[in-house]
Amino acid sequence: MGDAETAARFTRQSQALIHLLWSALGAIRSADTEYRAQRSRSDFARLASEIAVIARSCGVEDCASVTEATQRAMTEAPATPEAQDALATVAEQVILYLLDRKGVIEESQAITAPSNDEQAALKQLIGRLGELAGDPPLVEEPVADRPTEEPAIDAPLASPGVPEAVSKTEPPTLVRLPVAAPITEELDRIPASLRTTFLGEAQDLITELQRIALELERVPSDENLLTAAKRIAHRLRGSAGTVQMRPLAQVAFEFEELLEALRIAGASAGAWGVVATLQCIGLLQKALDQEADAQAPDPTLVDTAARLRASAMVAGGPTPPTPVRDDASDQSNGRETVEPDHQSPTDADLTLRVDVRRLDELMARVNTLTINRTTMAGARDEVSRLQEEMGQALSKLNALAERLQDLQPPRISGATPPGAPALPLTALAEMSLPSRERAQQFDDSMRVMREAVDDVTTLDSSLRSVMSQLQRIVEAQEALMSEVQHDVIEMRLVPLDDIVLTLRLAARLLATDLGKTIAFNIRGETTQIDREISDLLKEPLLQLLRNAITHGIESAKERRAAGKPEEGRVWLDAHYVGNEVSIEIGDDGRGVNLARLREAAVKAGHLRRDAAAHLSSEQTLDLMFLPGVSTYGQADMVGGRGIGLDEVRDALRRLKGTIAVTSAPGEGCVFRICVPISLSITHILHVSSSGQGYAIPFSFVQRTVSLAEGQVKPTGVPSRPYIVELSAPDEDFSNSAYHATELPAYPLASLLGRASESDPPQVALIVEHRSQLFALLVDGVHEDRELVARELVARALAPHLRRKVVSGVTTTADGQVLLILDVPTLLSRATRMPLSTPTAQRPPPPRKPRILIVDDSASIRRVLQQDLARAGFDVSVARDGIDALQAMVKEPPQVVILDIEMPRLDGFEFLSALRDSSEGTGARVIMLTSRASEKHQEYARQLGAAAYFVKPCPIATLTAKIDELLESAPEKADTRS
Amino acid sequence: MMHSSTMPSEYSPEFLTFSCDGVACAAPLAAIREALSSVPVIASLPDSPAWFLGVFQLRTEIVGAADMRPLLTAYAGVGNASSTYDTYSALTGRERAIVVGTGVRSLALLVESIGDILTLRPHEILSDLVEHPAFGAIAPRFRLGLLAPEVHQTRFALVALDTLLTDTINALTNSEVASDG
Repeated sequence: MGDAETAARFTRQSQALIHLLWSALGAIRSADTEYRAQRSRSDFARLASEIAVIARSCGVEDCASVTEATQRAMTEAPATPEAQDALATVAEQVILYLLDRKGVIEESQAITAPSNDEQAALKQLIGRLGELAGDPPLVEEPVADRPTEEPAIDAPLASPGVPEAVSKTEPPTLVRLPVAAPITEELDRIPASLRTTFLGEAQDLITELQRIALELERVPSDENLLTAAKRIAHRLRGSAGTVQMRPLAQVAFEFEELLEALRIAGASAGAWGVVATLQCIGLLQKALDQEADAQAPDPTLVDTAARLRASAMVAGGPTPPTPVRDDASDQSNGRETVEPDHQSPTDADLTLRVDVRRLDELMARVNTLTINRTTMAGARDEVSRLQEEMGQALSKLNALAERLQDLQPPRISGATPPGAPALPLTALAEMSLPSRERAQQFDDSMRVMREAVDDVTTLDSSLRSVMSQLQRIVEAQEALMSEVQHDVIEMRLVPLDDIVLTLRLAARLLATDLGKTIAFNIRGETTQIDREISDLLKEPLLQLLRNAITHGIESAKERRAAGKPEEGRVWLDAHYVGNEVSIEIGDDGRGVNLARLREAAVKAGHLRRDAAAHLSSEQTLDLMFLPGVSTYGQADMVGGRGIGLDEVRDALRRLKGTIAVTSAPGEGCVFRICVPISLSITHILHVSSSGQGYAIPFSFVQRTVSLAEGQVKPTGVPSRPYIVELSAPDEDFSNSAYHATELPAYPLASLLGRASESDPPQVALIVEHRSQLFALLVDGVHEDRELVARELVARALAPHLRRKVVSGVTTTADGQVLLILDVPTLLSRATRMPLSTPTAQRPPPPRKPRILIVDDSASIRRVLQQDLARAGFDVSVARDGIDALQAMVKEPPQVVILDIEMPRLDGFEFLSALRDSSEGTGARVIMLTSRASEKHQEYARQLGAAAYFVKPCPIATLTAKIDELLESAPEKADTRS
Repeated sequence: MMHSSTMPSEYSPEFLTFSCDGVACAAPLAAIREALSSVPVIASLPDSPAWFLGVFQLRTEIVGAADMRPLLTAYAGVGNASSTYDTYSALTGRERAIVVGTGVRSLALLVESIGDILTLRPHEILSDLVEHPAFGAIAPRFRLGLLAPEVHQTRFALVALDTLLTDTINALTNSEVASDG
C-alpha cells in the first residue's frame, strides 16, 4: 500500500473515532457519580485504544503512542475528582494533537513525522499521561545525555536540520517511554474485569452444585448427578486456577476427588455422602466469598475439604490416584488443560453477563423516554386542536371570499372567475379610466385571494394527511416504547429460586443442628422479582426462616405432648399480587407468647407496663419489630446469627415493602412480606387534595369509592377522626379477612398538614396497612390516573428535600410536580398520633391571579397568553363565548379579556350571559377588540364590561388595568381563586 | 462582619438587583444561577417550615422554593433570630424568583421584583458598611455591604446569598428530623 493510500486510510479510519473522543470527553467532564466517571473513562480508553491500533497499523507511531498512553491513564489513574479533572484536561490536549496530526497527514497525503513543536507537545502529553497512570514524573534530560542505544522518542527528530524524508523512512522509536507495563507484569496481572466475570460465573456454578446436592438428597448416589457435579467442580477448578484463585481451585479439586470417591462407593456412601457434598459446597462458597471480599485465604478451608475427601475414600472404596497437592497451583499458571465441557451449547449458554448498573442506566433512560411520551401526547393533542382551529379559520376565509365575489363589480376581462356578470362593451367603454383601473385591480386581487385560499386549502389537506401519518408512527412508537420498558424491567427480573435454594440449605443445616425434624414446603419459587430486591431480600427471609425453625417449631417431645405430628411444618409461599410479590413464611409451631412479648417490650423501654396491658393482640405482635425486643433468651444464639426483626422491617422499608405478622398460640406464626416486583416503575393514582396533585402507588390502593353525601362521618376521636360507611357488605372484600363496612378514614390533606379545600371530600381510596383497611379521603382522582413514575427519583432529590412521607416525585405532561406518597408512613402516622388541629395547619399558598383570554384568533390568544404569563398571571384561553362559559365554570377567573366578534357566542352575547347568570362569578371583563366605535364601547359598558381597549393594545396598559381591577375586585373574586 | 466568599468587588463587578421585604437588595451576578420572571406551580412538600413553599420542576431538575423575605430578615429562625412570619398573607402569587446554588444545593428564592444588572466600580461598593437604614430588617448575618451606584439614587443592600443558602439548606435538612422527633 502506498504512502498516500496509507495516509488516506489513517485519516478515514481515525476521523470518526477522534470525533467520538469529544463526546467521551464531555461524558468525563459531566460525570457526577463515580460509576459514571469510570464508565466514561473506560469509553474514552476504548476509543483511544482503537485509534492506537489504526495508527500503529498505518505507521503513525506518535499518534499510536499518545493514544496508548491515554488508554493506560484512563484505566489506571485513581478515581479521585482531581485525577478526573486532570485526565479531562490532558485528554482534550490529546484530541487536539490527534486532530492536528490528522489534518497534516490528510493535507500532505503522506504519513509525515510530527514537527518539532508537535514532538515537544507529544513528549509533554505522554509524560503527563504517564504520571496520571502512576509513573514517576519524567525528568527532562538533555538530548546529548541520552544513551545512544536507548533512543528516546524524539531522538531521531529532535536535532534541527534533520530532513523530513529521513524521518519518514526511519520512523521514530517510541517504545522506550513508560507507556506500557512490562510484558511479564502484564501477564501476571489479572484484569479486574476478568475477576469480576469469574466471580459471577463461579457463583452460578456453586448455585448449580447446590441444586444438584439437593437432588442428591432425594436420590443419593445417583451416578448422573454425581457426574454432573464433578463436571462442574472440574470447570470451577480450571477457571479458578486461571484467575489465580488458588484456595478456591484447591477446594474444587478436593471436591472433585470426593465426588469421584462417592461415585465409586455407590449406594454404600448413602446419606453421609450427601452431607459431605453439602459441606464441601459450603467450603467452596466460603472460598469464593473470601475472594470476592478480597480477604486473606483461610487455609483451613482446603484442609477441611481434604479431610472430607479422605474420609470419602476410606468410607467409599478403592483409593483413587494419588492427588498431587501442587496440582491446583499448576493449573493456576494456566498450564493444565481443562477438559472441554462436552455439552453442546444450548440457548441457555448464549447469555451475556451485564453489569446491573448498566441496566439501571438503560432503565433510567427508558423512563425518561416514557415521561417524554406523556409530554409528546400533550403536544400531539395540541396540534390536533390547532388543526381544528385552522380548519375553522379556513372556512371563514372561504366564506369571506364568497362574500367578496358577490360584491365584485361586473367583470371586465376573461381573467375574472366564471359566473361573474359580464359587462357589455358599450358599458365598459362608458366607464371612466380610474373606475376601470379599480375594477381591474379588484379583479386581480380577487384572483390572488382565490389562489391563496386554494393554496391554504391544499396545504391544510396535506398537513392533515402528514399528521395522520405521524399519528400512526407515534402510536407505533408508543407501543414499542412500552415493550422496551417492559423488556428492560424483565431483564432485571430473576426467579426467587436462587433465594429458595439458600433457604433450603439453611433450613436443612439448622434443623440438623437443632435436632429437629421439619418439612420445608415451598410454593411459587418461579415467581420473578427484581435482581436488586432479590439480593436484599435474602437476609430478611433467612432471618424469618431461622426464627421459625429455632423459636417457632417445638421439639419433637413438645409436639407430641401438644398432639402435633413430630415433623414440624415450615412453608414459604410466594405469589404475585398486582405489581407486588407477596411472600409468606409460616410455621405450625408454638406461636408467639403475647404476654412475654409485652414484657420484653416493657423491659426494652418501649412502653410502660400499664400501656402494654391495653394493647390489642395485633398491636402486641407489632412490638416484635421494635429494636431490642426478644422473647427468647438462650435460643437467640442461633437466631442471633442474623439480623433482628427491627432490621428486617427496615430492610423491607428500603425496598418499599411491608411486613405483617399473625400468630395464634399453639398454632404457629405467619409473616407476610410484600415487595414491589421492580423498584423501577411505580404505577400510580393521580389524586388531588387541598388543591395539589399527589401520586399514590397503585399497589396500595385496593379500590376507589366515590363518596355520597353523609358517607363520611366525624367521630370526634382525634386519632380516628372520620368513619366511612361502605354502602353494602362489599363483594370485593367478602372473600378476604375484611368484612368491615365501616372503615376509619383520614383526610389526606390532614395527614400532610394541609387544610382541605373541598368539603366534604369526594373520593375515598381504600388502602391496606398492617392487615387493616383504611380510607384516605381525597378531593378527586384525575383522568391520567396511570402515570408512570420516574425511577427512584426520591434518591435523586436533594437531601434537604427528602421527606419520610414522600418516596419520590414524578411529573405530569404539563410539568406539574407530583409527590409520590409513602402510604405506610402516612398511615403509621395516622394511626399512632393525633392529627394536628385544622387551625394549626398551614394554609395553601395563594395562587396567581387567574386570567381568561377569549378570542377567536389563535395568534392573539398565544401572544397574550405568553405576555400575561410572563407578567405573573395564571392564564387560560377560550376560542369563543361558549368555550369561555365552560371555562368559567371549571376554573373561575378573576379577569376576562374578551373579544367581540367570535363564532357561536360573540363577546356581547357572552357578557349578557354572564350578567344574567344567577350565580355571578365576580370576574371583571376587559374588552379587547378591533371595534373602535363609541357605539360598541357604550354597549359593552352597559353589559358590564369594566374596561374597553382597541387592538393593538400595549401589554403594559393591559397589565396595569388588570392590576387595577384586581385591587378593586369584590371579595368574591378573590375567595374563588 | 465580612464574608470573604462573596466579596464581589474583585472578581465580579456585576450585580443583580432585586427587591425583598421592601428593601432594595443586590447580589453578585455570579452568585445567581438564574432569575425567573414567574414561578411555576409549586408542589407543597410536607413536614417543611412555613417559609418553604415546596418544589417545582426547573427543566429536568426538581428545585425547592423558599420565600426569601422571612429568611433574609431571620424571622424564619434561620440565622440568629427566631420568630414566626406569616408567609402566606405576605405572598401575592406574583413573585419572581432567583435560583441560587448548583446541583443538590439549589434553591429558588422568591423575591418581590427583579431589577437591573448593575456594573459597578470598586469605589461604589461599600463592603465595610453593614449599618445603614438601607439594610432595613435584613439580619446582620446576611449583610455584606452597601452598593452606592453613582448614577443611582438608590442604595442597595449587598446580600450574602451563599450564607443564606447554607443556612436555609441546613434548616430544611433539620426540619424533617424535627418533624419526626
